[in-house]
Amino acid sequence: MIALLGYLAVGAVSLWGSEGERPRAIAALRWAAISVHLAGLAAWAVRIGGLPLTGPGDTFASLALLVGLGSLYARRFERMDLVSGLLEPLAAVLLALGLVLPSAHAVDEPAGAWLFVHVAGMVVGSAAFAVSFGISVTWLRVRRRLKTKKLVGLSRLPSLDQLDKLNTRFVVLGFAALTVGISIGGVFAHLDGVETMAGLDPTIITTLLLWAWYAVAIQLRVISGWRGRVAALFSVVGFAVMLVCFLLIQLAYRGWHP
Amino acid sequence: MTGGHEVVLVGVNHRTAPVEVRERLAMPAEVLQERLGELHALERVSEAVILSTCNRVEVYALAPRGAGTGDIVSWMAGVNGLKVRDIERHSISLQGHSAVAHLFRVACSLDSMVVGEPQILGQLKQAFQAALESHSVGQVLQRLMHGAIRVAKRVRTETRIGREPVSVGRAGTELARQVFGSLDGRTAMLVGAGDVARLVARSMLGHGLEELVVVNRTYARAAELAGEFDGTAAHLDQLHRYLEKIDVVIASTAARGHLLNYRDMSKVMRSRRYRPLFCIDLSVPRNIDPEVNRLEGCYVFNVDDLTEVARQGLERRREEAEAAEAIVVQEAERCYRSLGALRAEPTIATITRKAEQARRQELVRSAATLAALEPAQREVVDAMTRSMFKRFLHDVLRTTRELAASGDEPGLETLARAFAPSDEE
Repeated sequence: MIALLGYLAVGAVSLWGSEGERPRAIAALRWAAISVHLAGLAAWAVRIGGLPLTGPGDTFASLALLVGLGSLYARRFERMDLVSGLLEPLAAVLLALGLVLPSAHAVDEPAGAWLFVHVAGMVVGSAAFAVSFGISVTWLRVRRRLKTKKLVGLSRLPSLDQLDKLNTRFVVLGFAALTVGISIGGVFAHLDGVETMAGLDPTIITTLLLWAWYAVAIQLRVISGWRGRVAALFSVVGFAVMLVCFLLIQLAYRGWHP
Repeated sequence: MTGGHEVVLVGVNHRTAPVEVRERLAMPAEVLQERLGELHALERVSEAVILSTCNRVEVYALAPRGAGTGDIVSWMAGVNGLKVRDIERHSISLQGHSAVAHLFRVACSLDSMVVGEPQILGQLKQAFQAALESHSVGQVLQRLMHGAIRVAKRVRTETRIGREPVSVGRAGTELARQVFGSLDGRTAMLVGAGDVARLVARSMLGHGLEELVVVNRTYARAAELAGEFDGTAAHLDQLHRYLEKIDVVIASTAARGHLLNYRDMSKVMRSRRYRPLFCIDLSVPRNIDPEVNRLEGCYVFNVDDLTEVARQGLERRREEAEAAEAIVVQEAERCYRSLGALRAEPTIATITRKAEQARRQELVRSAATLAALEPAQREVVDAMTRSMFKRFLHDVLRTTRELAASGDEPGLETLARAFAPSDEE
């Protein structure tokens, strides 16, 4: 809860305020939020005797942490306040979902390593797509201001080129992680004869559709050279659909697979 | 500051003197060392730095208040063949904290004609370097100059005073950088030969633009301009051929119609796969159809847009200057206090020397007794006497520093006299 409030506070400052007056205090608050979040997840991991990827609750909390770290990474580049202003509240929302959704209170039996790689791949992929979502929304806002000639304060925003390159980096990372997660999950679930992986599992269908969506996005961006607005829209739509679908799945099944 | 000396400033600048006076007092780099030598040779000037730019000729010196300033003014008049009263009429003269604060404002470009311009810091560093090379600076002005350079860097880091564009040329560059990030490796095309367009092109070349293609209705004119910018010349017929390759178009011709219309540009953008194309149209009537701005990847700005960016930049710099002033006040106060502490150093040295002599004398006097002790015990005695004197002097040295910080020269002299070596020593 402390981390959640921290994310909201620094997000609000990045989005609407100026860090100019107290940059160190804001940076300290940002690091404090991440540290508290990390410590909370570590304590949870010790309590359940495994990594915090056992159920929707701790998985969303882990996803939120990765989004927070993604925001920190983006801040290594100049004038990324707006990106942080989008990602930090997003991390707060994901963390809030993590607190609300159920998690296993103990790892009953040692899960196979493949399951961990599968879930970790999915979480890292989703986090990378979340960061690319924040970057793409920023790209669209900067473009809109240039097109409509609303130039006041434009110099505080990152350049379109920088945002585009950063977006590509996160989409490729997310796609690679998702590919690993899907492949490992599919192969080993089949080998282990896990019965719940039915052909019409909505999580599997959604994930495969998202994988195809991002595959097309990468094809257009990296191979065909389409960039900018097309790449940004692919990222925004992809992550928005992912979030809505996974939330609906959680509401319907209270878990990842029926 | 030391021995009754104080930091003083005497000089003229764009606020106090017209260019006719400034140009007569200007000291170009080739004569600066010589002038510093002359200045330093003045009896009452113990340290000196000369800052000579097109907007100011200022002498920062360590000299007695009043008399020192008069000497510097007389020297300036003599060197430049002017009357003392002519200089006095146009000059500023500041001492102590005011002189320190003025130097900091100058270093931070708060006193510049264009607030926030970056050249002044480099000029100040050169002035300081020249003073170092001619050995005209000592401990006080070195600390002062380092302080000025540090505060200027702090202001550049903590405020946006130097980042906002204030000229049309720079505004064009900044807008292009908003699209491309950096202009390194980018290519621009200059269509026509308008003055403002050339300014924009020059600014972009100064910010990393790799290549400039100059297109003109007459090839000879294009070649002439290309020579000026070290670019490539082309005839206007080749305009569309280059559009697929370049990143920036700067248009400024006297053509009555649109050189680049929506239909042609949509084909160009398609073949570019919507790779960004940044267009600046400085012509009136406009050379680029404003509708081109609707095309994906195309960003079109006209002369009004650039002027507006420059105007906003100027406004922002004024706002940022307020924040910078606050930093200057804080840093000038701190620096002046630290310079004051330098005043205490000769007295502190006298006191500690006297105490150490007394301690050694007592140890020598007791040498016979101490000889009976083990080496380790003698070391303990040595350390103990050192510690006793240190504790005894603690309050004395603190008072000395306080006297120095408050500028109490008579108090310092009394203390120095009290601890001066006696005849037998």
